[in-house]
Amino acid sequence: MQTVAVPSRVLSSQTHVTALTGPELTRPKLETDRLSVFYGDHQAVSDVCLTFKKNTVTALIGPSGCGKSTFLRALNRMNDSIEGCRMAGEIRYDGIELQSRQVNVLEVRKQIGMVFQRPVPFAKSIYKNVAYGPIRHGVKKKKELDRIVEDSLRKAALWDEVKDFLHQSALRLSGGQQQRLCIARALAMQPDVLLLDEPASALDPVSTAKIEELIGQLKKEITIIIVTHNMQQARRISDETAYFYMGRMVEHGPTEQIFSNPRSEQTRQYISGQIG
Amino acid sequence: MMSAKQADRLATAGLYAVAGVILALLAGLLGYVFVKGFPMLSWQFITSPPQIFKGGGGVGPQLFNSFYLLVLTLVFSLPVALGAGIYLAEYAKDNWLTRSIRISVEVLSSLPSIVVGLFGFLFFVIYMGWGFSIISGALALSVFNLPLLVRVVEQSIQSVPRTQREAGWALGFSKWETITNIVLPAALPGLITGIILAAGRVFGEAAALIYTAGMSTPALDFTDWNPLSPVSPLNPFRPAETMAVHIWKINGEGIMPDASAISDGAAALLILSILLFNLSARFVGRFVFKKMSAS
Repeated sequence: MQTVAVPSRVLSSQTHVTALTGPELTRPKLETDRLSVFYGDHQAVSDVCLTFKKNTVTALIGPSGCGKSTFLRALNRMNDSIEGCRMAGEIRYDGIELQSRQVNVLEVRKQIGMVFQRPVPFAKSIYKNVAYGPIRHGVKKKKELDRIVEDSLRKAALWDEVKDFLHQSALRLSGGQQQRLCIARALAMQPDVLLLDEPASALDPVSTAKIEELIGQLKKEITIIIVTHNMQQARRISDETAYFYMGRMVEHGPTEQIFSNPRSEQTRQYISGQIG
Repeated sequence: MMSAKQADRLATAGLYAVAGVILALLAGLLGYVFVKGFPMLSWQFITSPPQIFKGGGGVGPQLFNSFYLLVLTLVFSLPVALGAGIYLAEYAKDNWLTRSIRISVEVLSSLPSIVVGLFGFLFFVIYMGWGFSIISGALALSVFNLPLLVRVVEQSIQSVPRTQREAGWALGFSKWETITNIVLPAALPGLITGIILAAGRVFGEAAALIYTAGMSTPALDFTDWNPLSPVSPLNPFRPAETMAVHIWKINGEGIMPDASAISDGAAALLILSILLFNLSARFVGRFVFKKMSAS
């Protein structure tokens, strides 16, 4: 164990933090240590230890109600807002314990972005939807905002479709476009990690393909964790896969290995469609 | 025994009949008021002050008073209603405090307006010493209006889906930022509809005003817009008879020869004003929403 200075924006003040892992290079971007999540008396996630490497896509799979979405929402502390929700264990982001009281949860969410199952555009223009986050976090110059909006929309593969009517309502876009707008909105915050909660489950195949392609592009810059019900999708886009069942993480490994040669019998059954 | 199909037909016919009766009632009522009142409406009628002994008076000051009271009432009640509505919808946990707030709101909303008027008389007019005045009237109307507004605000905020809030939090917005930047704009159409409803009630209210804003209007100088001047229409400490109160008064004690014609004209004008107010508020609401969702 060594003490290092971590000049991270996540902390409210610059503090010395005890980093539990080794040098910067091998340290995972994000890891959980015996993370449990409770809703009142019900335990939704039990003792999950997982590591997420930088610039990789990790897919979380498992049957409905297995706790994968709850686990995902724990990572940027979205569960804080649910009454009666309690967490135990640790989440470390760049070695920083996210549930520590020194941590500013608003900064955490700024760096660990999230996109939801259904597209949730704000009732504002396309431009404002993307620019809103940066404006709130202090970007004032029009030029700078224009650049961020264009950049984010390009990264989300939406720019060419909307560049001529940026100032029209976002509610007029199609579902697939709205979801890519939500991804652009998350990217405008320049997050380090992006959490995707079944981002394509409400979309048609063409839009789904676009979003999958997008994920492949994005992982060059950021770390992605995606919850999906679609096994083919997990196989196509992820580098690593974790299988959840009844609130526990059953197996975690390289995607190819999980799908071709799972260690656990349960995982094999789920992947071959015997558990649904 | 009736077959399901016959029962269905009977129910449909019944519902149509009920709807028809309501429509006919409304049309008859409005038609009667308009047919009797429209001939009275002229520029002279809606701008000149009333006459006490002669015919040919107008309702100019009363019309102005109605709108002025409405604006002041909204100025007083809207911020409070917004605060309370946001609190109840976003922050309140289910405990004795919020339960008692909700019960108070319900009790207040079922208070007869004459009781609100008498309370206003005792408290604002006598105890506070403001006399029969616009300010007393506006405050009494605020008491009368608050419960409805609070519920409207609470309900339109609650109707914004939770996913919108989560999307805000996920961008690192605080709870308050999410409410002001995302939830309130999304709730705006509902808010505007509710405010129109409340405003219509205020505009037509008479009982609560008789004892608070009074039944007379001093001679007003419509060129003097200094709110401190006693003859200024904007002076909040002058008595102010509204359209609804004026109709009530001249029907009871009007001694001008054309009292009933004036009452008819004033009634038509009152309904017309409410109609205009509703339509324009709806229009403004849609315009604001469009502006906000696309810029």
